[in-house]
Amino acid sequence: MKRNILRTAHLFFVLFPAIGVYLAYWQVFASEDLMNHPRNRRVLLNEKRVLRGTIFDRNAEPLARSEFELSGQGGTRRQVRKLMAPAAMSHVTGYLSDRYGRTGIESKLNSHLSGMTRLRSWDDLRDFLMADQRRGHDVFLTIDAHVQEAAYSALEGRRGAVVALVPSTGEILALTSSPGYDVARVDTAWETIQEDPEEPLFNRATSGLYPPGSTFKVVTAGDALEEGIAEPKTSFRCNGHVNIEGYDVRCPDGKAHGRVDLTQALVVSCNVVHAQLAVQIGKSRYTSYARRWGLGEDLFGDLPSKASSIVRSDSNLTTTVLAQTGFGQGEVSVTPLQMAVIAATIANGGLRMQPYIIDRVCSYGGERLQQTTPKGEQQVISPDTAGLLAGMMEAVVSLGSTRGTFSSLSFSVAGKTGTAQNPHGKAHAWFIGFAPVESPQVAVACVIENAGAGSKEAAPVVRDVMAAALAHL
Amino acid sequence: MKTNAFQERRLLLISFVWVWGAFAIAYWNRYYPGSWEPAVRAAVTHFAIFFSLSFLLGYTCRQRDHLLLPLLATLTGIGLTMIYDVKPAFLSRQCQWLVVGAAGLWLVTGVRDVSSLSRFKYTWMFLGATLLLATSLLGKRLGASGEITLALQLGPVSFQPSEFARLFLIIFLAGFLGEKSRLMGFREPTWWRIGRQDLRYLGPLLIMWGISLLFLVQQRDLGAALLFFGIFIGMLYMAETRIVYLTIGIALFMGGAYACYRAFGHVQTRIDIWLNPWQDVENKGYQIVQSLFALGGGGLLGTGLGCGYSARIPAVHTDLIFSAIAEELGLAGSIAVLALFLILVVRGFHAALAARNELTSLMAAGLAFSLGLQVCIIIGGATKMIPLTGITLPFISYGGSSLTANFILMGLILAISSEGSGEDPEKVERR
Repeated sequence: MKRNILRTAHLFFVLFPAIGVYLAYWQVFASEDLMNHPRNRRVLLNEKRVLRGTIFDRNAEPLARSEFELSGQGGTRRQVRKLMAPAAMSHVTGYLSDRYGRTGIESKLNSHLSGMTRLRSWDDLRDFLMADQRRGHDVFLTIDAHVQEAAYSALEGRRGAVVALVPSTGEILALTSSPGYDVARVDTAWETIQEDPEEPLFNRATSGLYPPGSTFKVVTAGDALEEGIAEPKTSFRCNGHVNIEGYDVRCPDGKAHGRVDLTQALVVSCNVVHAQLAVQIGKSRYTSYARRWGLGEDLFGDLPSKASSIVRSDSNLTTTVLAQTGFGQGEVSVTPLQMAVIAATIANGGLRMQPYIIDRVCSYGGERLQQTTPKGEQQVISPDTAGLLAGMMEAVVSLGSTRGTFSSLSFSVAGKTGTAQNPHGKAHAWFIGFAPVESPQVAVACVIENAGAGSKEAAPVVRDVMAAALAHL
Repeated sequence: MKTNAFQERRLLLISFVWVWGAFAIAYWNRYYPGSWEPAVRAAVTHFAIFFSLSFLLGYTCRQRDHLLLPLLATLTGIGLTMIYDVKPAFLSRQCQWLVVGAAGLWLVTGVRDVSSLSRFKYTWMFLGATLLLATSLLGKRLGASGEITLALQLGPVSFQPSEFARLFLIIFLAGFLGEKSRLMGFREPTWWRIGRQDLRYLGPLLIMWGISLLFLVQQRDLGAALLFFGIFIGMLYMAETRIVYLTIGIALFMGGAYACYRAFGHVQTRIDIWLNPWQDVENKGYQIVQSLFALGGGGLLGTGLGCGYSARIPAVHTDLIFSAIAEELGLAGSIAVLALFLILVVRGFHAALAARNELTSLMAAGLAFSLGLQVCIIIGGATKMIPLTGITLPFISYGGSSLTANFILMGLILAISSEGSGEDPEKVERR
């Protein structure tokens, strides 16, 4: 009997180690696969344990900040995201939802904010060893909350967008798309937000493609100056219309501007002159200049954005389309960001800077983990040409239809209006500009969909944004 | 022997320190700004029970194996911390059951001669069968939404009879086989021939076996059914009965398992889930997949007590508590718990080998075997080594019946270990 009892006891020396082998397999060898299984919520739950990092603006104002709150009778801790300006910042910070994912900076820098990055700071290491509360990394944006809010409120809920840049660096001061949505209500009011015909989830500033209208004349004029085809004083004649390869280019209401020089042509926004200039520059040169201005490439790496273009991808540039492109119609379609980049390039002596919104990422203890340095992309036009063009744009503001709009400002402004015809109803109102002309510190582009004249609708918005950006002057 | 009792208390102290620390860590990580009272109350109860047991056992079984109580205290302490961690609402209830279990353990060790239990072997058999029958008849009616339950409701307490039926079965088998095995050896004409004598002998065995399995399968308590089968075969083998009995037993086991698989949809489902739980992660395979996720989440060193996510696994505080341990303490912790169980089982067998007569020897072996088998079935299920069935992890899982029955089981092993050592003059001489 004892012999068999002993043998049975030995059975367990086989069975238990066999279980141990199984345990080792699941706990060590298969561990990573199990953790990455789509139905395993552990990675997500781990993220929630780390106090999510803060998104700051350029003045270290917190735009989105997480806090622990006690909830329920069990006193379980839950993270709550506190937002400074949920609607105005909605397309910058983006939303954060278990159900609907995340967008904006919350998405782009999620690994840093959630602290789930492999790049661990010394602070992370210390917290791990001391079993302290772990925190995600903080993100500092180039956004100025005051400028952003000024832009958002100036848009008054109309469909449109404002982009403000620092010309010398490419820093984005404001990236506003209107209407915004309440980021905090994404989980509770998803249907309403998503089905809103105004499309508040759509980021018009980086992804909205519009015909630029007359604002694009600065591109045509700049190319012509750079190529030596014209000078500011070169004289042209406008009969109110001109026939180009069978297509009749007309100035608004067929009004003849008579004898004008290039500056005056920009001030009165003469279609005939700019159409002729574009044709004179020619298809290949115009196309290559467009590329230098940034059209055809995705300008922006920090948030999802669309590339602008002068022709539809499925067609070739014909002379008649080129003529229309000369004054911003035809097939050209641009994002507000692209137009802000064009204004900033002129302000920056013709050097196009890469726009960026993420300035730096720091651990909560202040250790710098990532820093963006301004990057010059391309010398589009020479500094001299840029200076001439800036002078012409200054004349537009001081002599043209918007002179009253900007008269209240204590600094000089250069700009160009646009009233872009489009198949969707009333014209889109545009304004691009920069200030102060002597040493530009901000370049702004604004579009308001189907609002009508750029000088009446978009220019006041740009004025408010410039006033907010240059409040210290 | 005084030194042995001293050693026991020293080991107990290590166990207490572990349990206190575990409670503190779990509290800090999971409940921190909340009340710490439940944790302290449980830790104090645990301490009081095992410290006083150490003294009280001095009266009933002085010569006991002094490793057993510290092992028991550690496993029970791990159980209390894990219940506090994953289902704090059940903690005070479990503490109450711990008192009941400890009282049961002490009373059992008070039995003067354990082999005398075998005198009433048919009473045990009858009791065990009645318990299972009662569950089948009454448990069914009491089940919510017409489901078959494994529990009987006795006033305010819900009670799981198969836990106790298992004990009765082992005592019965030990008495029955231990008594007859001596006669087996010299009446063996041909190993496979079965005469009238054999039928008389096999009769009660087969009846008992048939009844218990029928009820358990009907109650869908597959884990318990597997355990009962295992105990039958294991004890037949250890009693060194005729090989033909063992052959019949194994054949019946195979046949029965196959018949169950063909006849019952839920058995087939269990097997299918076991073979591929990833096909239906959200429904049928949910429990086992969640268990594997917990194992994977633990890694080598675990998430730390109070930092796991196992609280959402269905039946985590009863069937799958081991997965929660593995998550929070990692492979290191899960292997350690496995090792504690192995030592406990081995000490049980040690008591069996040292026992003075065949009856108690077989009983201790049966008890240790059942303990080890139960651990293998549930941990094997949680690791997808075998199909997952719903039985408890002894001493660790939440559940009054399980805790009490297993404490009584330990009481019997303690008593047998005490009888087996020292007092036998023959043994003393041999040393």
